[in-house]
Amino acid sequence: MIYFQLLSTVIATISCRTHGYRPIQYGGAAGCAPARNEASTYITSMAASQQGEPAEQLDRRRTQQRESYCRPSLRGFHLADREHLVSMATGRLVEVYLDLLSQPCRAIQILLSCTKIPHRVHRVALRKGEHRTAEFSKLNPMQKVPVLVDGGFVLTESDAILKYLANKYDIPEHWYPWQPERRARVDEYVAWHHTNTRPHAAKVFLLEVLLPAQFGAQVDQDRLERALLELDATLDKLESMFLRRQPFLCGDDITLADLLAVCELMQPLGGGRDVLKDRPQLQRWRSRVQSALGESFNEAHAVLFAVRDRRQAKL
Amino acid sequence: MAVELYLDLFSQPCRSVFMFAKKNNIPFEFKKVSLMDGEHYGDDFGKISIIRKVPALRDGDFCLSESIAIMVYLAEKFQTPDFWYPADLQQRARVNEYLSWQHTAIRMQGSKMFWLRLMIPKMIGMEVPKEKMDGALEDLNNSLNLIEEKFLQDRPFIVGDQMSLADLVAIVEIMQPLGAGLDVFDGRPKLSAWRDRVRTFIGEELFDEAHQNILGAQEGMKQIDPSKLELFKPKILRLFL
Repeated sequence: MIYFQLLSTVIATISCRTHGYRPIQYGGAAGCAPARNEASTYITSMAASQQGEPAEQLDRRRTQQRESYCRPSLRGFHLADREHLVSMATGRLVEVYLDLLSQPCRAIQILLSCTKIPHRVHRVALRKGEHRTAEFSKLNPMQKVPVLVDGGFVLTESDAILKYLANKYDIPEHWYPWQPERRARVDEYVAWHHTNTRPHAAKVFLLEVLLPAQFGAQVDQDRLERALLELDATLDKLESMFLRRQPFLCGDDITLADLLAVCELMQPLGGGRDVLKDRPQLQRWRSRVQSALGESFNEAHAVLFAVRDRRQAKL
Repeated sequence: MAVELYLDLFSQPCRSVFMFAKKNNIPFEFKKVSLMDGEHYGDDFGKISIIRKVPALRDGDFCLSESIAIMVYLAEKFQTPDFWYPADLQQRARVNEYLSWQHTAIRMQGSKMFWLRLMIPKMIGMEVPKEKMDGALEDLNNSLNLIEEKFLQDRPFIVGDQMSLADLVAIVEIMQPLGAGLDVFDGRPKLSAWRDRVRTFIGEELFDEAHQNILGAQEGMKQIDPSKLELFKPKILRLFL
């Protein structure tokens, strides 16, 4: 059975490539991207019930849509296929430098775990100043995480890293869709995220946890109040502009956008604060995301939960 | 039906989109949205851009915000030359790296300098305190140093021998403080040389056309009615002061 799957994948790969198409691998024949799983079925039945379409029909339609994304306009991605096959063959792992207390680092960890991209994690403990060592500074003079190293190629900035991984490896297409309008929706959120979700959620954690821990001082209540108001306004926009009545931020399926957003919105939990407490719509979204991500979500957030638990023990 | 682009050329990302579309001969309808007159708060515009920001694109039923998303969408739809957003994985990643970094770096600092030097004094009727100005200038200089040392290095353009979206997005942000009379290119020969290359690559006429409004901002501000700025006061004071 496995032999047949492998053979059919090889044949599909060869025939796609001779026509200049990029083969979309759907399923786990090469052992890399996971096969259709429970989360995917859950998503399909959710979307189906919202649209009034029987789940199996929706499923068939979407599979056809995905398969039709094999088309000649995807220039240059033959390189991606060769690279992928080479790295699979040589067993070269992509290396990432992460601190799981950092939101964008978690997004990358989760994507790598979920999609089973072969990788090696180097832990960089920000609280111990490991990002300021001479060694790390040589790698990244900006002294920030996350960093990706692929062979000799060094890349910073989480969205660039996530998109690089999505483009290079044959992971399920929903993460970063090929179809231009659907891809544009993800690009739109990812851009907006930088000056909205990210700074406003991070500030709450900074004021409630990081600054007091670093300086031993009390929380600045005034600044915290203002930060919470800002975050509230951002969450309003997140609900009304992006999520609306969709299962995920950019449509029917989970994407890089949901990954980045959920990691940011989890951060204040490190201080024991659930910023989605009074927002049932966003809570349901968060649950859907957690379901879709499975164990990789909990594993990535273990450090954050430990911070929360230690604080609660002290209080 | 042609693509509609909702733009105000005072805005940096609008200039990037404008130059990108024109340079690539993409047929589009220029829909002016005057930020100064609060047109982005109107009902009609709200239907195009739920985020209520410019630039915005409408292509049939498809509406899109965020300049980077817009330019990448146009690049794919109109099959623009590869160098803008290279298909090569590593080159593309380098462009994405710059586009990601700039949101909270040069974009914020260039904007801030423009508001602190020109708009806010007009709004509140007096100069901004010196420490604020000095702090903002230092941040801006740090970003400009990073652009020169990390993103440009000794290359003609950010990603290599040819221009890309990274340079297009960078140049408009760096030009913004000039609108407030701050010549950021002064004392920066490397940056000036890069600006000249970018301007030549885009086409001097197109570059100058895009920047006409912003470079005339100081003159324009002399005639503006300060009450027009009331609309922006709360947000700007919170953001920048």
